[in-house]
Amino acid sequence: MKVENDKLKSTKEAKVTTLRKELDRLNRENDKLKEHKTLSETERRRLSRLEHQAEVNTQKRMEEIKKLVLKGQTLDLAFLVDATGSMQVYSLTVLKEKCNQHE
Amino acid sequence: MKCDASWTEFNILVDVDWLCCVQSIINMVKEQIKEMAAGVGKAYPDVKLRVAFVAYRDYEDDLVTERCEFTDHLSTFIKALSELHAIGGGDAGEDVFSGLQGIASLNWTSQNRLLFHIADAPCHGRRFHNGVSDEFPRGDMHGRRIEDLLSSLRTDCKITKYFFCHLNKSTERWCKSSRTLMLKLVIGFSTNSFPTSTKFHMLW
Repeated sequence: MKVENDKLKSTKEAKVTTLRKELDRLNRENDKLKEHKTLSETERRRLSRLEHQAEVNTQKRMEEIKKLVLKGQTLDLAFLVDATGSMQVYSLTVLKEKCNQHE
Repeated sequence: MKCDASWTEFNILVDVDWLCCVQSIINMVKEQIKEMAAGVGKAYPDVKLRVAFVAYRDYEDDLVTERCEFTDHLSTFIKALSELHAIGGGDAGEDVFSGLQGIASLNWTSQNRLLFHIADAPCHGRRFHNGVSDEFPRGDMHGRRIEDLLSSLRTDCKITKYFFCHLNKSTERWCKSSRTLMLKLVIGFSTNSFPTSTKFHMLW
């Protein structure tokens, strides 16, 4: 009877030991998973930051291009005009000269 | 007037209507300038246009130059232009150099910069004309050099295109000399590589 009891006891202890080991393993796995989850969030935050930076850079570049386009659409138009008395003569003279050239 | 534009470059060909009517050349020129300025504004409504003019006479005149600084108000420009009168001049040669200096002193800021020069007489100096009456046959009385003035317009003012409008034959030699000088000095191209117009001559 005593021998049987000892046998049962040792079996029970062995089972408890196995269960404890299993529990320890699961705890370690859980810790690893928790750690992995934390890393992913960090990575996500980093990616998010990069995406935001890229968006800011794109906006900045678009502004630069817009400025360049607007700058390209500016025109300074200047006239240098002879304003001496000879310019007061009537254009009929010019017209005659032109006609003579074609004759 | 015909206009072709790309993003950053404007090519404007102007055909002066010589048969416009019997009016003084200066009035005809004024009308054409107004039409050109307004025409560019209409053809390119998105373009931020600024207009200016410099008028020149001769050494002995009270007002050797008159100017209207660049303005984006066409009405201001037109008003100033309307007040311009053709007087003085004396001999056939004129003080073109002061006019060019006036152009160089304008406040050029835009990306595209065009200059239209309209004249019926050359500048002083025998080398610029074929024997018109000239009291200063040796050239400018102040010793200014056309090379320096044109170079300044091209490199300092960064004028994209310089068109010269011939009203008669007397300016042909001036224009040709200036163009050759300019091409040699700044651009270094052959004169044959540039298209020319019968009325408007492109200096560069």
